[in-house]
Amino acid sequence: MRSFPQDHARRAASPAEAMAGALSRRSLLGGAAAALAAGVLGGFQQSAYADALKHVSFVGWEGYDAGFHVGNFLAKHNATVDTTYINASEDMITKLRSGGMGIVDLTTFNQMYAPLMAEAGLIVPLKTDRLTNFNELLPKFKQMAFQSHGQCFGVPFTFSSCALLYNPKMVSAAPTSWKDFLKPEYKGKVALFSDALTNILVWAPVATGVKDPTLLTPDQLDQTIQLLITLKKDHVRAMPASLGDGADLLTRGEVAMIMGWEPMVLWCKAKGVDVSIAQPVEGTWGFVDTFNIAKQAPNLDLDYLFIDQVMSVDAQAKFGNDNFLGVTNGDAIAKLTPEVKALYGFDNLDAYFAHAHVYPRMYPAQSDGAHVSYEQVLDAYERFLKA
Amino acid sequence: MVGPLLELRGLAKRYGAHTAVHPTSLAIEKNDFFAILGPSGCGKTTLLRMIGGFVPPSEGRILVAGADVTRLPPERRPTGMVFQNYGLFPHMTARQNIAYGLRLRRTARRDLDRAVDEMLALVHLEAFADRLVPQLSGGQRQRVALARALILKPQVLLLDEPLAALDLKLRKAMHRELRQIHQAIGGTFILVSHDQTEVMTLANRVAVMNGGKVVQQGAPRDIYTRPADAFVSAFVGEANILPANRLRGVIELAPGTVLADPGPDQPVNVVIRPEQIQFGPGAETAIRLQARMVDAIFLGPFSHLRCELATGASLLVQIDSNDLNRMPALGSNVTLGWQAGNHLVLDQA
Amino acid sequence: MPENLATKLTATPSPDGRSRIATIVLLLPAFLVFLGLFVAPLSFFFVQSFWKASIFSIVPGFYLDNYIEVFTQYSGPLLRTLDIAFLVATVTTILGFLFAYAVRFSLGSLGNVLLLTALTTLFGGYLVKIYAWLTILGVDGILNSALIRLGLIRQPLQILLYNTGAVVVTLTHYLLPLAILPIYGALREVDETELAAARDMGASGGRAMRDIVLPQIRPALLASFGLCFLLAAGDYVTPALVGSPGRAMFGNFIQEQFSLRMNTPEGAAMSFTLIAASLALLCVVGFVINRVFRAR
Repeated sequence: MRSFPQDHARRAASPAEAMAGALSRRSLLGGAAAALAAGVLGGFQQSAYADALKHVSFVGWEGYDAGFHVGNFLAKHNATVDTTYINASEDMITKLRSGGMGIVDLTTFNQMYAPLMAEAGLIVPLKTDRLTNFNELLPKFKQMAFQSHGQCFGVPFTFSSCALLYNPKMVSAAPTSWKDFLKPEYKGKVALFSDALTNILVWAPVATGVKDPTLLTPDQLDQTIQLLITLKKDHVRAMPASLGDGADLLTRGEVAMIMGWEPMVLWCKAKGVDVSIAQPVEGTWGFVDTFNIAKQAPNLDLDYLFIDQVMSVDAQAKFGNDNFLGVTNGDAIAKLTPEVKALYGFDNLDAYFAHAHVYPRMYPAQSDGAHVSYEQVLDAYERFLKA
Repeated sequence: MVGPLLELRGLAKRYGAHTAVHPTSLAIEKNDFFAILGPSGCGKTTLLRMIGGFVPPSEGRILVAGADVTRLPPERRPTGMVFQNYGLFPHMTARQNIAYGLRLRRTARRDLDRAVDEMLALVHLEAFADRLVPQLSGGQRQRVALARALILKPQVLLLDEPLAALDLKLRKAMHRELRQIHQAIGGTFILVSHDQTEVMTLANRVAVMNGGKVVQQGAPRDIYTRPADAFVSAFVGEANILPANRLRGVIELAPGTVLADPGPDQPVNVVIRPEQIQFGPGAETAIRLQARMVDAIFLGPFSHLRCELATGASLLVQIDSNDLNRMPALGSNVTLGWQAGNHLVLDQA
Repeated sequence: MPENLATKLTATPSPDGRSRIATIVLLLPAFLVFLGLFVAPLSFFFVQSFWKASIFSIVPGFYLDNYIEVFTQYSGPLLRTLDIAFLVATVTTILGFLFAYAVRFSLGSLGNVLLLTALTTLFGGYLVKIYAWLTILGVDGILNSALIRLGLIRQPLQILLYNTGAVVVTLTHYLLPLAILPIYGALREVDETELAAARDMGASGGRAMRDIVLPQIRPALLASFGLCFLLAAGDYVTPALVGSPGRAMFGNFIQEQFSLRMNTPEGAAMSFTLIAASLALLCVVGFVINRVFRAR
């Protein structure tokens, strides 16, 4: 049932990294030896099998590769997938930086930083007219794909959000706000995410009322951190290390409500525990992941076919049903199970996204004077961790 | 003092169905050098460890100077033990080892130093006092172990095969030293050993154990000359044991060789020590046997000749090694004999 | 041991030097592994810990900024981490000693069974053990259920989980077999007769343990303590899973520097500070053990 990664810790890549110059910190880390070894191995694979089997290298979240195996797609194109699963978004950057360029074909960055990855020269703009299934995307996602400089750096193919999940048996009334976490009756019965970006993006609007939490003043950031510290010190039972651990907190009755994720509803249900999704007035952060083609991808033509494949109705439906995740191909919705359909309110997606905010960009790499940089956000978050 | 210093009353040890020590009663007088002699596995070490408090007895009592110590732990008994492998503390120097017991008793520094120096002098280890145990030789370790036990002036010193780990020469030197120490400081020593020479050299009283029982006790000389049974006779010194039958007061050792021995008709063992047998055609002895010489074994100052009787039994004969080259060739027929009264007749059990 | 090696090399008679070459060839792989996997990376990061990370790049040079930052910004988590590791190592070493002592001197053949049982827990995965403790200490966990069934409590206890106590319990369970091994090995070298002799001279059981046993196994005590301390100090998974929320260990911050912050110089400086602090603390512990349990 739970084929989706349990430790799917969503962490953003540093925009500093994205803009890194010739002497990047990553490339120093990776070292020439790794690059050499990877190059030799990769080169060998491709030359030896060039005429026979085509190896397409995928670096991304576990489960995101499921669509490749739907139907006879791989056999038809005489291709096979070399898979590298990641634990954090940075892993994709590391892989590309340390000799992955020229070997890696496909990545799955969050839409929020796909443009930054492109600016850093890690991924390439996509020619969407080469994707027959691109037109099947729901209008919202088609529009989202082009929101950066009118170019498409990644095809949105799945969505979900940081949902406020609660156990109806442990609350007196359905929560209506993230601020319910602070109510005395739930003291020691709530849980945060253990991921910096999610905690900031969800709690900044709660603490400050800001509309776009990726544009925070130093004061707003400070208020957000203060609120998080208050939560941690006086209210929070745990900060689960992974999404699976978060679901376990609910099933084991440790907490009444948590910063959660839609698939957890069905994970908990499988364990006989009913949890519900609340609609906090402050809204939440919506995750949209995209498929990208790496720069110098060795199988460029084939890569377009691969993306087209994962966008196809059957692949999307299987992916959504297997992982309890939202899909972006409008025709695939009809093939989703009622449970998955209900999780994401496919009858009224506009309402879903009015609640789960999708932000256009990451934090700026350098402060523009008014707003804090990503580096400052991370520093402030460490203050929270140390408090 | 009235009564013995150490008294065992029906002391026994059983491990499940196995009886290591049958109910044993012993009385050991003050200033005795008492030895418990027996082969390995005879229960002698278990008996000693019960006295020391390291093995809880299954039944019976232990009294020291009239006081019952049966239930006391080792640290509260007036006994001191020298262990077979010494049990020295390897992280300490010889001096620290010897001082340990007094240090436990919170002896004043000055008294402690003086007592330790005395002990070091007694066992001739002054020059090695500050060496760690691993830097000492086997004999030196043995003497540290002895000094460590003696410094506490135990009412009873228990010695568990203390010399077994030493080579022969060193062992003999230690025999002398142990005798001197016992003479010098007095006290009651109980020695456990399987070495009859050691026991003969050191002890004034001996208990011989076999199969978990004390089979004989007495002065070493008495035990040697009047062993209670065939086992004792063979274990204490060398002995020839000739099985035979007594019929109407007469034992026939071989055709033509008979002994008069009043007693009931039954199988007996005739015991004769090798040094009591005379050898040669001219031997004027009361008892004579014809035999064939099959082997000659050189043993230093004396030698053993092995002779076979017509019955197939074999006899060891001790001769002066100086006479060895005057012996007849192997395979020759010889006449053996001994004076009446030199042999011992023991009823077979 | 270089001395041993040297004596071996020179003591072996080798008229043609062939055996010496063979020895060198045999030792070469181990030496290269040591050089390549231990010396080289550590040196690389040690040098880098004095470089500076500016926004876009890493600037080689000699700056103490990283170390200053460690002391000004991270001394709290560092002290907390050392504190927890010290507590865990102390508890584990004491328990490990008592267990090994009982196995060696008191329990006979039952001891071997217990020892084997303790060691088989090494086979279970590290994460498995942590999750096992989650199910034991949780509000609907085994412990709470048992206490409620026994009528000792009415409401499940919340304080069993998600605090430092749970971290110590979990890490102790994980590290205990590792603490037992060196101590048991050392205890096997201690002759039972020594204990009997000490008792015979008037020492109580406890006194004999302190005077005779503990001084002889000082290196093993330090080895067990050091092993547990270093593993606990470097661990950040257990505190994240069963510790109090957000009480991040120093390891979490190091990891953040290397991954999220991409500041390898700072991460390296933090790592070397942790190593140095750990070594300093172990030196003190070693000194204390040597002093308290010295032969007298």
